Amino acid sequence: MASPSETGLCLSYLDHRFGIPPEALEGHYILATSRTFYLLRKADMPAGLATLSIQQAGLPLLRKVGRFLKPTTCAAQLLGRYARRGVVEIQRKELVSLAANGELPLSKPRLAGLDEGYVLLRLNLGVIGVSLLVVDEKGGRLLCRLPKAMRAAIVRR
Amino acid sequence: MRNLPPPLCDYTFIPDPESYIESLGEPFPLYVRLNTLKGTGKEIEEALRENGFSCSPVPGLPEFRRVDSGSGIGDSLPFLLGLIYAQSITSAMPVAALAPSQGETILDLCAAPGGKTTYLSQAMKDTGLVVANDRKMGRLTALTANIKRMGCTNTVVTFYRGEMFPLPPDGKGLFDAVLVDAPCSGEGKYKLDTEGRLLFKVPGKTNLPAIQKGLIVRGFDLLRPGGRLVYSTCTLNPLENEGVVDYLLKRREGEVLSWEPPLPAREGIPAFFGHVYDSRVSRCRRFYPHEVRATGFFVALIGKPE
Repeated sequence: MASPSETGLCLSYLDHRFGIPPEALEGHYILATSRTFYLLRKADMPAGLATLSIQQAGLPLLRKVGRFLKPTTCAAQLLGRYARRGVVEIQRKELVSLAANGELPLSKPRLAGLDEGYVLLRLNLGVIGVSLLVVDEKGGRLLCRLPKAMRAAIVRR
Repeated sequence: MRNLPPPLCDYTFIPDPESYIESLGEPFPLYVRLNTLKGTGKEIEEALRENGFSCSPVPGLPEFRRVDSGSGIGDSLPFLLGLIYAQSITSAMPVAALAPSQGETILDLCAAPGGKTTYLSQAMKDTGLVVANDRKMGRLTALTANIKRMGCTNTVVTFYRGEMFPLPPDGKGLFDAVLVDAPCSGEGKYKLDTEGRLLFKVPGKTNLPAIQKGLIVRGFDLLRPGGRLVYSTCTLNPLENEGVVDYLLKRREGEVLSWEPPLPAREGIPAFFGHVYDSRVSRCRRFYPHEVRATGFFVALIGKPE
């Protein structure tokens, strides 16, 4: 189980960075390993289950990347509907370009309201995953952080 | 059946054998399950349409659609977003028989690659707890990938030999329900090539009934009193089906329960090759590929007395 301070860190990160309110994670435990936080549904579990050796519990929520936290693709897809900021709307063509080239330029007007760092990528169907936004004097660039298999599938398609 | 290669030539119990033989040369339609954990049926249908897939409903299975046209579903955006799971409609039958409720604690003893696990989670509206177990580390990768893709937060993954899954120290069962979708010879998937040779035949000489018997007994022992177990395979072989259920009934106080599946099904068969089974195996359900136009399946629903 994550400590209260780790749980607070995850909830405040999601709230401040993406506007995902803590209530969106209500009814879940946050679990911690050395590099990853997991989201697990709260349930009344028989005591005997505590002795099981668990390979994975629930969904990976956030990964520790250096000093930063990065939302996982599956958490972005699940919680993206609650996000009110830190979201980049992209078109299908742009997604293919991002997957194929590993990055996608963003014009200055599209950077309005966005901070550097991890952002969610939203298509008309919903949030598909995460990208890293880098901003310089010319504009911005999205660096692809989609899983390899997903990138390959998008390019194939 | 005489024209078929073994073991199918021995399966005189298959109804309407001519249709069955004919079906062995035809592909099954593609079906998908709409993941209502991530959207409404309507939204997901719309997403499929936008991505070039035309679908039609499946009577009795509101979460399933038959894909009538469109290609490359495994690379499509609805797939990558976890909105759909490509799954045979008969593969939904074990979950339908188990009828999971919200808040229950359920064990999927042979879970990889996760089609039934994620369907259980969906049927429970992502509440309670699903313990998804598999004994093969390589298959856990597919299992965890599918759990993540489908957005199931009520699932934990374990890595035990199913027949050795730990019993609780107090000897009482842990689970409200257990699904034993056992490894099998996969005869329900068989097809014939143009030269009459069997396709999709599982190689090897593993004694599958011995493994299956170990799994069903352990699954039953893990149930709490009053709990229910579903034993299923995708094979037609009675030695892996009725024979395994019969084995359990001889060793434990289980009861085969009746249930009405939403697809055409036949009763379990009473005897095969000199083995006469407990009469209660007639309550098991057999789904024949030519009658459902999907993978053949066997499903037994077994109750543990209070």
